[in-house]
Amino acid sequence: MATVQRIDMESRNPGDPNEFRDALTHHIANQSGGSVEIHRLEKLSGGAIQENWLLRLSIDESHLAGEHKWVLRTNSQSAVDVSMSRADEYAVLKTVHKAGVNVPEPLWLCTDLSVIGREFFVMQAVGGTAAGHRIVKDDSLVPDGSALCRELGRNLAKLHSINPPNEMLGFLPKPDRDPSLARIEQYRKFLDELPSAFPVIEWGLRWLLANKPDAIMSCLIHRDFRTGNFMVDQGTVSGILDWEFAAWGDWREDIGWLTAKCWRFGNNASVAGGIGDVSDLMAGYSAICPREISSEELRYWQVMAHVRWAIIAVQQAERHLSGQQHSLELALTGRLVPELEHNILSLIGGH
Amino acid sequence: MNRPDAPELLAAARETLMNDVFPAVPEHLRYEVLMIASAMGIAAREAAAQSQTEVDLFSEVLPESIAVGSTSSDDARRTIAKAIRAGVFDTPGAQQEKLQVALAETVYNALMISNPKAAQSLRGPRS
Repeated sequence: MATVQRIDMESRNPGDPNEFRDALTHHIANQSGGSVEIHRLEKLSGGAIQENWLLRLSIDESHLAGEHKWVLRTNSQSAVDVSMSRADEYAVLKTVHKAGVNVPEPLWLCTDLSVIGREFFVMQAVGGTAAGHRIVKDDSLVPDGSALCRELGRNLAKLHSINPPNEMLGFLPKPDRDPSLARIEQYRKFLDELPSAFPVIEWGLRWLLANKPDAIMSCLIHRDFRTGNFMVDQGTVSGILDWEFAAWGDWREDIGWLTAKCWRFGNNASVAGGIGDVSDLMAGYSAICPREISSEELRYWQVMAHVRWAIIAVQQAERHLSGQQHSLELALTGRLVPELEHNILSLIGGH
Repeated sequence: MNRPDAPELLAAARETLMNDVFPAVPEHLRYEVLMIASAMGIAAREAAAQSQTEVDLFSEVLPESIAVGSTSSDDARRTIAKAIRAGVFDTPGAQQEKLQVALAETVYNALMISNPKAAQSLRGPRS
């Protein structure tokens, strides 16, 4: 899942690029109508469910003639069916790109399984880094945290301006009449599917139910919009990544997720993603869309964020324990749960 | 008697891993080695832990359904979670207070093993 912490956009697993180099060269030649040479094909790190391959290539005799740096995104070989298909994610990327959200430009989708054996899409590569632990600490990467937060706010506002129904996004589950209630019910269902019980998470859900806000109209939300999932280049956003969890929902869910303590990478004083202040985030947001978030609303959606992350962490550990995907990283994710539970208890008060 | 015991063995293994092996590990495998060291640290602390068990803590909240000695930890958690969802602790008062104490204590004990640094801040200012 994308919520496994991204380490860096540098190569970690060498993989075997030669498996599909020739087929891909041929495919791109067909797409571009030119002659193609792939100079480099390298798997990027991050994402247990998806694989991203960096492609450096040159094309001649085509409207796409020139040197290119693209990213091919596809399901990992061990992928299980837990998030949207690459075709659906491509449609989301096209839609948000059109709405002015800063994302890598989507180029084309390939559903022909004969090319690399899996569905994939190709997008422009963007520069910079997504490494959360560096973004929150390295002033040379982010010289002006306030400006970066305003930019993130503007991007969120543009995303949240996309309302249902949308014919490009017909595959998304229909918007819920009461998005926060729907989340609570969904998380309870997830808990019920687990082999053991989690009293602190239950207590968090009980609090979320007791303090539930009035239902509001759904809009398109990212659902994993946090430090580590956007690329930062020279202090600005070069591209927002990982759209596989996008859904109709309450816009404040994205704000709660981005500002939750678990996504500040230790830089806790900077509430907005470990980068800056919520006031800057919302200043950027309201410049595009006149909305505000109160401190009570923020607290509510931060509790929701920790409850969700805690459940995902338990589910990831369960993937390891059940033998579905043997992985030390997934096993250790289970050990994040007490810290998330601690955040839940701290936020809702009491002891 | 087995000496060194599990925590001592894990500590020695972890020390060798980090001091002698890690510097020679190529860049693309360093994250894996750090995860291994982290897992060994957690396992060592868990093997050494002697905290009050969840059953003890939860039996103070619902003594009529959770009995020390006969209820398993899994069952105790399930009973408490079910009662929370049923709204048993919704009203502020002594019962809710007891639950909050027990929840905070279980989280503290778990954190002392999985993330001792975070445990130390648990009783500090709110997040």
